[in-house]
Amino acid sequence: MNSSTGKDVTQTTLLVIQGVDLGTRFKLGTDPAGVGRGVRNEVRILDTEASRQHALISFKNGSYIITDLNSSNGTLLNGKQIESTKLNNGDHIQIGRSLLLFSSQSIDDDSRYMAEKIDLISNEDSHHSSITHEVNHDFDSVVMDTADVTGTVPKHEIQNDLQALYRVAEASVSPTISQEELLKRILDLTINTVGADRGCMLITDPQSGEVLPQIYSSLNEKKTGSRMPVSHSIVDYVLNKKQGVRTSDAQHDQRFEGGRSILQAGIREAMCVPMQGRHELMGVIYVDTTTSHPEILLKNGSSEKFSEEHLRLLVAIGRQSALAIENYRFQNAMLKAERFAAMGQTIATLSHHIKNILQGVRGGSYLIDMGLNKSEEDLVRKGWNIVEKNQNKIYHLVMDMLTFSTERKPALEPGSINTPVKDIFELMQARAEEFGVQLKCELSNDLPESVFDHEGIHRAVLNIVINAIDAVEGAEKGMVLLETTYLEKPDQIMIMISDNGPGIPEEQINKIFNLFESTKGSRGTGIGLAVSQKIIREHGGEISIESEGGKGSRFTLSVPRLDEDHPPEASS
Amino acid sequence: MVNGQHVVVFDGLTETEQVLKAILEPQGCRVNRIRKQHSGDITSAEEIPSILVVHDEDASHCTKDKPGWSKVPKIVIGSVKKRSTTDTDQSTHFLVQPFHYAELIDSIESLLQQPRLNH
Repeated sequence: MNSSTGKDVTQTTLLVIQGVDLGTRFKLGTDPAGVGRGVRNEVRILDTEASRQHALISFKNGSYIITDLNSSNGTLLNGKQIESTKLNNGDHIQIGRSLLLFSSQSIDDDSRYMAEKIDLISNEDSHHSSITHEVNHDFDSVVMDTADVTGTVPKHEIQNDLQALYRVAEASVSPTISQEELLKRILDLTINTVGADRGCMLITDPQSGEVLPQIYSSLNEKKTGSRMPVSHSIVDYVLNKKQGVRTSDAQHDQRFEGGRSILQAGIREAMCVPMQGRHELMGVIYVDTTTSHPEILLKNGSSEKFSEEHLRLLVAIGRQSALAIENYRFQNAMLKAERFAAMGQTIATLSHHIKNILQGVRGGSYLIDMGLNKSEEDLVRKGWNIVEKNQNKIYHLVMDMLTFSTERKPALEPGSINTPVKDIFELMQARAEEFGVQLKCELSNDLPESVFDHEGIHRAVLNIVINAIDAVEGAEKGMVLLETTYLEKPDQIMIMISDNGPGIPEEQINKIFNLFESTKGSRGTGIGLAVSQKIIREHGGEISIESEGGKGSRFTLSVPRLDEDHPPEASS
Repeated sequence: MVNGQHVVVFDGLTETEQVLKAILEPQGCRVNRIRKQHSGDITSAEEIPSILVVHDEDASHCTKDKPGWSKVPKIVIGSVKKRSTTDTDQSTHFLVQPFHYAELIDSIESLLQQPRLNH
């Protein structure tokens, strides 16, 4: 799924923004990717409303195509049912009850970060101006007073303006992966709405305060090769006055004087508005109309395409865009703060656990050293056992971390779940004996074959068994029981781990699967159960807990019998 | 020196108990580890240990509801170095993890050499 060709497709992703897999990000490559509930899908959605093989995403001629595979509930793209269609950046794909955001940086690379296409042209003679209209950024004066200013604004134009603002507002709050993507979406809408040929956004750099070209878009994609001249003096005027301006005759606008390239570029009209945020000016939006025959423009002058109504609308869009940037930056700051906090917690927890392991290794080394000095083999052996035990602890910690990371993909193979459970029973005998715990195993003889990640299930069960043994350590007649059974009706395989330990306090049961949540105090990492749950969920299963204070706990791992060759439901 | 004494390791790492057992038991010192969840079972005054090895997070409640345990000399294992108070100077030693076990053995021997407080 992550393979790439000459064109960089590594940044193409599907992010689950609604549904049980919320927050899961799937990378798309050039190989076809199956989408659905089935275990062999590259984009596996654990959504009961999704079909096993729901849709297919393929990469053809530089574009991604999504094709519905006759799914039971259909595939919706931006709210409309589709059979097969090209995906565009920012598209929302609905599979069952899950909503996936398609983001492809590479697709938009040609038109997205095209700041280099914008030429900021300085003009010293800027005190003369033939700007046709100016509009303050104040929102009330922009929209509410429209009728007073123009007198006879047709009703359909007001409706169009409101519709445009509605679409911009919607674009401002829809999920996005970057500020550039958000602004590009707004700029595209703006160009279409005001009938401009092209446009750009110049954004204030939060650090330096400098206004820099950032987003460029053109209505006519064939023209993307030409550069867009933007008058520095107009930008400065808008920034200083905080007013939107419109010029309908670039040729005779003295603000453009000396801007030969602007005339050469065939600019007929231009509008520039401030992007005024709650607290600061975030930049400007600049749009223009052009002609491919500038000599005609010089000869005949210009016919107006931009109206005052357009300017007012653009000012309102400028305000919306600024608020969108502010919100994006605020959310980004929050996200960064949370990320740092999570990193801090991760580092602290792992350091603590590694320190415990180091402490154990030091204990073993101490005994080995003493044994060697006194020539006591028994001490050396005891020390070595401790070192070996801590070596295992490091191994399990690393494996848990790898399992929790996104790098690992479940390796699904056919087999009996009894096999890893029996392996764990044998593996844990020594630990159970050491802790004075009786470890028992009762495996079902009629457990059907299934398709599962053998190493993953081993780890999921092992973590719970280790916890169970720890829970009954030191108790009189401490016992841990491992069982397996098969429930034909829901077609599920159950693995049960029971202990007669002190039980889990009710208030801890709900958060026991949270990462770094441990009931073992300083001895626990809080990774084990989170890993077990992740693995079982990867198999489409769940873990349930029954616990009673003073009597013990029972963890039930229910895993659907996964067999793609013999699915129980013929329909999906 | 440690003969006839009783060291209790309150919860924490099993390795602490294993090392202390390996070193101290041949010298006639009894070493036990009590799990936190079973600590409530101890109520008899006869079980008062000579030394208590405890993690700082358990230090405050390990002696709760156990007659005579509050006056038992303690070795508190923690993550950060704590300043000793006047009350704890004599009967409490702090060790910062990861420590060397020779330090733990030294601390136990040094606390056992101190004149015992009346229980």
